[in-house]
Amino acid sequence: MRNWFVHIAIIFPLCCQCTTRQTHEGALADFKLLGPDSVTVGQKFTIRLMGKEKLSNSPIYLMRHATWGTTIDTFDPGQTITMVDTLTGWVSAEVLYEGIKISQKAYHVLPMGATMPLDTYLGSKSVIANGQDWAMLTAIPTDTFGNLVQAQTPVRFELVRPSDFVENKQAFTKHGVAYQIITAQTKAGKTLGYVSVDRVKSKEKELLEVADYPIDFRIWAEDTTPFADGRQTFKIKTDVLKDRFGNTVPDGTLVLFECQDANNTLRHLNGYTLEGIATIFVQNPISAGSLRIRASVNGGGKSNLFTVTFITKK
Amino acid sequence: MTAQPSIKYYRIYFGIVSVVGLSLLIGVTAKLWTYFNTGADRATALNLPPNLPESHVPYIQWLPDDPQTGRKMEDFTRQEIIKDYIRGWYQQHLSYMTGETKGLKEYFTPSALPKIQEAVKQLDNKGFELHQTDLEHHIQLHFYSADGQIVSFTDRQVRLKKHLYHKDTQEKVYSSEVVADYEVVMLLDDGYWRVKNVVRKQPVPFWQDTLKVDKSKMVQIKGQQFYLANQPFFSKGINYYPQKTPWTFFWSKFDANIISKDFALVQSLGFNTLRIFVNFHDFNKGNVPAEQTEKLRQLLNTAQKYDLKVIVTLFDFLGDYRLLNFPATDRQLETLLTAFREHPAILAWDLKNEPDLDYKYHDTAEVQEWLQWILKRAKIYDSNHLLTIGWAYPENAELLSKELDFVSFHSYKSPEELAYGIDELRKKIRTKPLVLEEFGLSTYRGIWAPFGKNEEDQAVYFAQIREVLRQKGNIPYIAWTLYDFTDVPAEVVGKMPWNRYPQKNFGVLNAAGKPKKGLGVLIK
Repeated sequence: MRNWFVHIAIIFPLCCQCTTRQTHEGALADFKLLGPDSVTVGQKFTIRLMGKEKLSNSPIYLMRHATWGTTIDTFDPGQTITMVDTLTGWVSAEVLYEGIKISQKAYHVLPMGATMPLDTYLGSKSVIANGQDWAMLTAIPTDTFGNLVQAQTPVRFELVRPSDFVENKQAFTKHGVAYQIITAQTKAGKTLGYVSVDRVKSKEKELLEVADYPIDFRIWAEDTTPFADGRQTFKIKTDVLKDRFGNTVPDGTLVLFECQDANNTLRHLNGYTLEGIATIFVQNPISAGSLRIRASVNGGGKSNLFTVTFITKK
Repeated sequence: MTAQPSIKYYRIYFGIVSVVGLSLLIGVTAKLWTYFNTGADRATALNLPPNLPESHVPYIQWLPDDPQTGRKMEDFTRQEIIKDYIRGWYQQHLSYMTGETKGLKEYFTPSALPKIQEAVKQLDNKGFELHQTDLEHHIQLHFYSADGQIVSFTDRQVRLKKHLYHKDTQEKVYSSEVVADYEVVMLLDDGYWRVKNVVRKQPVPFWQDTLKVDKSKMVQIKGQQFYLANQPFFSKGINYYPQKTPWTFFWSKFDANIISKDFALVQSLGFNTLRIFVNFHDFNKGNVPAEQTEKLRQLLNTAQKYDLKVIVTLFDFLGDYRLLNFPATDRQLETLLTAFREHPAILAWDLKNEPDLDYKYHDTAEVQEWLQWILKRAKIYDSNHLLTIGWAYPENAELLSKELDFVSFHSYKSPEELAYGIDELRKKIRTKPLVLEEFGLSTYRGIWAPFGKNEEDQAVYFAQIREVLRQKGNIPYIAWTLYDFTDVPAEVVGKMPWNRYPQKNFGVLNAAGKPKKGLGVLIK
């Protein structure tokens, strides 16, 4: 009988406010939820419901609003729940009994330290070694349960540049992310990035620093034969194509060779550099006269005008 | 010698055998019929998804980006991120509702996926079903990587509404509304933005520009009296649909010329107030097209031209109070209220026509929860105009009266019952003005209502109602309706002719557009 009266006394004033809100302080003073204000992931803890009345008619539920969703647990007969949280965040807990909230509490679940694997991301994967281009090395450290580590965790970035220059930088995690901007130097090669948090190291990330467009260069002919027979071939070679900082252009750079013979016929031939040098084979013209050749790289430098002269065989 | 039939009373035997045979036939047919029509219902057999609103449109606002975000964010990418992020929230709601977690794969990275699935599975295993929706997002960008593949932002003051049910009995256990901040990291993979990490945080309020409030041209209330430009304003109003295009035809066959003629007529008859209806579905739910807003603008401009004030009734024929429909109602509300926040022709927004009628077909608590919430949203979008709710019965009109500017109710009962209803309401509401927003009498007398009323009865009725309103403190009135209609759509009161035909004759103007006897009495 007493229980029934208490239930009516609880239900009537709360009847007008069917929906409850998180900031609603109307939780009955009769019931208090005891438990820690913050726990670490993986740490067992107990929540206890203290109150004057013993609630035994219906199950008492604990509804928790957490980062990854909503959970319901039932209090045991001793009005306690022991649990372990593995996911971090601010948790809002409401105690429900027969459709009403009778108590509430909020607590924080804190992350542990960073563990392997340490997520790092490099973008873009290559930059031009012109002293201005840049890429970004980002780290999102997580603990063993996959939670973001706590804010302002120091993250160390060690960068080994192509010039063998080693840079040691540090950034602090903000909103889960710590990053470092890598500005290109003028020496082409690979920059290796090593990221570490405490004693946890990541796999190294490779940033390719590639040469810029080549400056003007020289070409010459090799293995020429003098007769305009339309059959023999000779070689046109470039010297090593380098950018303005002296870096050899990457293999496969397209070099366009334009050959104009005595009849003003224009031939376009493509060559690709290997270790900076592009070589093409040109066929002897069929009419005597000069063959004028010039090479160029789209967006980059040009070569000299090289002339090969042919005569008719008698 | 003529042959005698060998069985005496053969007719009786024949009769009995026929009856037995017929009942057997009917019985067997019925059994076969029920057999093939029972078992799994179509939806579960075909694994059809639940009938849902087609687009999820919660309130989304981008707060100013952090000063240093690494790379500057482009507007196009903002749209892409929000699209996938909100769709991820929607998928969560669907998963909780159905207990199925497969769909979450598209919106969460492989490392995040088990975390989101686990909560859903646990709740489902314990025998609970959760209905929830997200209502508000305020996004603050912190980081955008150089290659455009990583973002980190905080979603501030996210408001979630949740209803918890026992899965087997469908009994509602609890309703909850929670607000929190979410710190989110998303990755772009394969053209889709997926959530990688989330941390729920205590909500931190942020500074927002407050809207300029300018009520000087609007109808206002002081005490129990309406005022316009500091002069007392008494509403003599009429509910309006054009004669040939009432209810569902109104917006699809909207004709500005007819509106103009009708409004001129309404003014000449002596009315100063109109009440019109915005159909939730005609305005395309959560995605109101510009042309519909334009029609409403034309209507309000025309009312302004003829010095008529308009009560705009929203969410007519809403029909859906489920949580997942809340964002759509919020978007339509926002679109209309922000568009017409400063329009002087609007007397008030009537937030819902006759919501207490929906108590019969929907969960009463859900209807009331929606009303409470939509009222809160209305005040944010438009703090210039008055707000009310058009209750069907005065006995239900007390709800939310403290938060409304005035209380409206309808009455199609006798003048005595109206007087009683007003007295009872006044006991509960002492400080707000009352308005009788709908009342009327059909002059239909015919096959489907042989004892119907006529024009004289209507005139008497109007006189008596006016008298009651006068005695109860000069309550403003808006009568139903201007015209006798040529056709009434079936959705309004059903297909049955004894319901539909009387609906055609509630007008103060008859089918030819001429005033009935009651008009003069009504407008005096």
